[in-house]
Amino acid sequence: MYVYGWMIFISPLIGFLLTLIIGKYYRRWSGAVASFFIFLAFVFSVITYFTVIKHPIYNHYTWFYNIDFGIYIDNLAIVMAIMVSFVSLMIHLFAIYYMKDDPNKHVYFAETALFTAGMLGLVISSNLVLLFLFWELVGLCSYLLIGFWFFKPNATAAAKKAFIVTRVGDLSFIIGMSILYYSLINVTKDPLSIPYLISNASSIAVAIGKVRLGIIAIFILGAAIGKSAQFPLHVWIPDAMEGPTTVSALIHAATMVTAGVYLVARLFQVFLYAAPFAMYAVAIVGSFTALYAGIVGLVVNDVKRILAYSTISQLGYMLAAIGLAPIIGGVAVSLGMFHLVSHAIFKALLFMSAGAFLVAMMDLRDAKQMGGLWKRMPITTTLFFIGSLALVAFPGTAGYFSKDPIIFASYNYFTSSPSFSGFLPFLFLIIGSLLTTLYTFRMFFLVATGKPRSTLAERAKDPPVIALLPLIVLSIFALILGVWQAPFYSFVKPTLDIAHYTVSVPTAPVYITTLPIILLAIGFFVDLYIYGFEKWKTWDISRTWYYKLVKNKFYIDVLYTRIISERVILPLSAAFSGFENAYNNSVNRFGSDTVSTGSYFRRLQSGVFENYVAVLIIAAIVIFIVIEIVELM
Amino acid sequence: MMFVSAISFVAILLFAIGLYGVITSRVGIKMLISIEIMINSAILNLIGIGSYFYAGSGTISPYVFALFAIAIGVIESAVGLGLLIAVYHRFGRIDISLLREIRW
Repeated sequence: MYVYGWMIFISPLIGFLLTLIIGKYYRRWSGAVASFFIFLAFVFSVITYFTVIKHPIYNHYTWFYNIDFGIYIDNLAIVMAIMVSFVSLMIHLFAIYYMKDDPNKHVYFAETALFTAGMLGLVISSNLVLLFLFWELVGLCSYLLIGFWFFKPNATAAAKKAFIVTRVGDLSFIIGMSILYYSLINVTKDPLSIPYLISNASSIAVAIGKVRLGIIAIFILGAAIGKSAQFPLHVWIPDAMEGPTTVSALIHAATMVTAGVYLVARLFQVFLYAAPFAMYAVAIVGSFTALYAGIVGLVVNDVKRILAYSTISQLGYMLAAIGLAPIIGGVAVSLGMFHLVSHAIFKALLFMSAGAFLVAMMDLRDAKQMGGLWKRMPITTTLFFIGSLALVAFPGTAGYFSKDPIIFASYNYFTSSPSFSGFLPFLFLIIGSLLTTLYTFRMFFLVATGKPRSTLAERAKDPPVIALLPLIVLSIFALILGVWQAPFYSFVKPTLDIAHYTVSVPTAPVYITTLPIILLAIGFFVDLYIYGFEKWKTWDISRTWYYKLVKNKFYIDVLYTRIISERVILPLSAAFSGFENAYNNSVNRFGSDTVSTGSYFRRLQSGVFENYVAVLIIAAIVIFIVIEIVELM
Repeated sequence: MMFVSAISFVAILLFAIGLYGVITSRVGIKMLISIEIMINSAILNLIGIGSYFYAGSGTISPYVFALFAIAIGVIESAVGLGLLIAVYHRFGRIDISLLREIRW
């Protein structure tokens, strides 16, 4: 039944081509065509699911040298494929409303279909090289879509930034893959095949050494950091908000940023059997990002950017969960992936309801200009509220069942590890949980309560209910997804051959399990006091050093542009372009000198036939004389 | 020795006649005929060498070369005639100095 597996990827690809062709002539059908093919991909994912629960699908053909191409769909991949196609379908349906007046909407829908195709191909590909190909395709589509409104200078700049920053991660991916290939080429025929890597990770660690495998894992983590916008390379995501809001939803929920987490989960066994520093790096990068993005999210006023920072923060939780594996075992992947799925659902919901706000607000994104939208846009704001509840892990919602277990697991990690280093992930994650509550309810109160603070907000109206149907579907899932927590954990849990690594759903003492709820309550009431009752209007902290520090995102962007770009990259590129010019000139000079020498000597060609014959005869006589002289000597 | 130098003498004489014709004539057809005479002198030389140095040895290389030279001479005169016809169509006469413009 592997044909259905291939169709998961092929149907959105056909959708991409057909949307371009049909949309050129029947523009209003383009959204429906793209959505139909995404729906097909969802159907094929569900059909494949029933095959995968019996045994994984592995169907591959020789590509070049000893690299195979093919599909490998196991429990992890099929969960991801179902999630991607489902959320992408919902976003496509909402985009039919959101993009209805755009003159280039057939291009938009074609690109989102290609984006989904790239992500689904990434999920099901059986080889790291093939995975990298789709990885790049996803990056390209994100570039195209972020810069979709290319007439906005901010949008084109953001598109370039997203493309260039993620290139850093891609370089890391190539380096890691190359080291892996040359380390294993004497051991096996196809060293980059994913099924081989994950089923033989322990023997690979013995064959090439744990430290070298750890270095490879660090490089692959670098790729995930670039794609999933983790701490040093997170700078592209907030700027990527310049694209259409549905694109932001697609990038942040279903495709693109989850690819990094998926890569680490995919190669989980490689990380696990490598030297311990690899897994610890995953945990620290993830948990620190969760903390950092939460702090920056506190001071941003742009609604979409707050959601962007919350995405970075939640992705940090996912990576941190996977990084906890040395203590809590294979269930770490289940924790991370469940948070990934639930995050995809409620973040798509949040982004699309923010998109509905922006339609009503004529694309004004400043939360301080909104206010009082609950009365004017009740349905949208209720959906937004449900998404916010899931984001802050309110008991009973999807976020509660997906995020709090990560915190409990980090507590177990802390109690089981002897040194202070084990304390850091728990510390970062628990503070991050408080920060999540603070920035989420800050955003919600600014948007929804109080009096309207602009004329646009006074006239805002709900979109038609038919357009909000996808959001309603997502909000239902955001509320009830926790039902599938235990089945999901046992379904996604990776197969490992060490008994030590099989611990079930994490538990913690009662004072730890109630701690996130207490922090949630604290955050809620603090925000209610400051933003619900509009105390923030009388505050002025904009001159304090800590506000400036956070507002400028800890000067990370400044570090990249002022120091690294201007002081390092620009001089280097100037030096290289000087070298290049010299080289170009030397090549051109060679050609032009040849031409001018030729034009000098061609005057010998008089065109008089007798001259030629005379020269011929004289030359012949001279040659004969020379030969005679040589013979005489 | 006497024999080969006699043949060589005839060949050199033919060559000189051909060369004289090429240098002095301006009409294309005459030049072509002169060139043919020069080629034939070379062929005669080849045959003379073959019949003198390789007599009785069973070697036929000089004669094969002579055959090649005849073939090449025919082809060359065909090409030359084609060019001259083109010149005739263009100018109405065959004067080699008309082609003086065909240079850089």
